Amino acid sequence: MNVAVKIKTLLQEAELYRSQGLLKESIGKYRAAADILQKVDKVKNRDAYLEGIARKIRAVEKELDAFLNAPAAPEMTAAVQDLIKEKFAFAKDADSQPLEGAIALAKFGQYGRALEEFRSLLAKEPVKVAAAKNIIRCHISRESFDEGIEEFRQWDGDGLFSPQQLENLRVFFQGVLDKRGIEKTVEIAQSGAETFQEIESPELDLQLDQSDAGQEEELLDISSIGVLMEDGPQTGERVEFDVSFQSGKEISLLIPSREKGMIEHLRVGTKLNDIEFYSPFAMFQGAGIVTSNTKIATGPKRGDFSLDIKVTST
Amino acid sequence: MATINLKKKEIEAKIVYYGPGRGGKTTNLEYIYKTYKKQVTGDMVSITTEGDRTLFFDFLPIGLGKIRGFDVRVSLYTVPGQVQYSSTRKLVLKEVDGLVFVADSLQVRREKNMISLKDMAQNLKDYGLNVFKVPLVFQYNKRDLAEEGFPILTVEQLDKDLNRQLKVPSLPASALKGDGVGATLKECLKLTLKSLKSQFQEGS
Ligand SMILES: Nc1nc2c(ncn2[C@@H]2O[C@H](COP(=O)(O)OP(=O)(O)O)[C@@H](O)[C@H]2O)c(=O)[nH]1
Ligand SMILES: [Mg+2]
Repeated sequence: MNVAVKIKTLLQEAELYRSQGLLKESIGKYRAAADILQKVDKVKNRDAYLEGIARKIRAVEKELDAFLNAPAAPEMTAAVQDLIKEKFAFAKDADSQPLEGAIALAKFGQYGRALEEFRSLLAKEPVKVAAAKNIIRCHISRESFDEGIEEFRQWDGDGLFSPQQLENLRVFFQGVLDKRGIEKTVEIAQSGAETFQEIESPELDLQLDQSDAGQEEELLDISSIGVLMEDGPQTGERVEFDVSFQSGKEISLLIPSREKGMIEHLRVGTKLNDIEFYSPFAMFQGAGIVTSNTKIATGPKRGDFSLDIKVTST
Repeated sequence: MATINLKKKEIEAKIVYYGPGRGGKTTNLEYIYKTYKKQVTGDMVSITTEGDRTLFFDFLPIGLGKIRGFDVRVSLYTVPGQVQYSSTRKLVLKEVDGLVFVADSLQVRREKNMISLKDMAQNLKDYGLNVFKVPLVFQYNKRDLAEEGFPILTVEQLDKDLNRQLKVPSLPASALKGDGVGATLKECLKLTLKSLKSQFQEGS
């Protein structure tokens, strides 16, 4: 191909890709054209041409930057938020459905509206704890930590939750703050948290994604889980573990050697009927079975236990 | 899974347009919105970002009228193409009943087509769906660019790249002009309804 034709073709391609928003491809073609132009001799006004191409490249780069710097999740109109809430809630039962809708709003970055929705769900007994945890997550995502702590104090004052639930939420909140390295403390105002020894029946379980029952459901990225112990010294307590590794429906936990007492009650084959899974967004409930329980023999984690759990339902 | 309401005799299905960014998914929906006014049952919602790119999804509700006594409604969605939106892309795919994979015929997007198809298969798998079983059609878009002399992949190349194992229907299209848009949707609807019917019969 004649050099002039070749350059012209490249420039046309560059223009087309730009018009289609294929900006990197466009820059690539402009550069290729400039490269060829640079190599051929005897071009009149070469510098002017090159400068022209360079200007184009800068303009496309600017478009690319604008795109890359656009807000990840701008506030949508109420109508769009309604649509998200309606279309991304798949649960069939009347309590989980609005919760799922609110979680979808949060996933799409609509935290303000999601918070409103979660707050309205605090009045619904079966989902109120899940709603509260998601409110905490929203505050964490928005980094409105103080507002979150203030909201927690209100729950405390309102008597919205049982002391045990409140303590659960406190532990949860503190846990996420600690994990993020945020030095703030969540406290319950009245003392006497210890007096609530009696074990409450677990809250009516929220089952997100019920419509998917029986089907292989996705497992979101899980950062930690809370296992309701059914055996051993901590029977009736929800113990939280960090997830060290996750692959499909298998999750691995690392249990420090000091928790040895518990390990015996998590033998291979143990069914864990009540697990709360905490992912960066949703909190959902399910069950699992211990598939391996091994003591780590070497390395820095020597003496700790590695526990694998297969998630059997969510 | 689609919602089938026996009492009201209603079926609500979900079709998702998947594919690499800038391949023409939104353009497909825009054309459907403009052209099939009778079938369109509500406004098209596009959630876009800088440069008119799909941020979260496009949504377009259509109705197919009565099929064997059932009122069939279909929600059409597109996914965002850019890599950084992988989690929202996955969310849009949830409970999908049928898929249109819009491949970009431009040679420079060859690899992106393949990456996107792989991503789709993985996301389906995460939802417990099998790409070999889900109703799926390919649309090889931007065929019009050949006439202007731009380097595009042949239909055979695209079939080889994307459809060698899947062996699903593939249709050439120019979404910008509207060529092939209706045919693609029809083909996908046909497969989707067939699949829903057999799922429903198994379940009952
Ligand atoms: N020439 C041509 N351009 C197209 C065609 N379909 C889409 N485009 C253009 O490709 C660009 C990206 O299209 P869009 O629908 O936003 O792609 P999406 O990211 O897959 O939704 C736009 O500039 C469209 O005008 C087509 O069939 N032919
Ligand atoms: Mg789009």
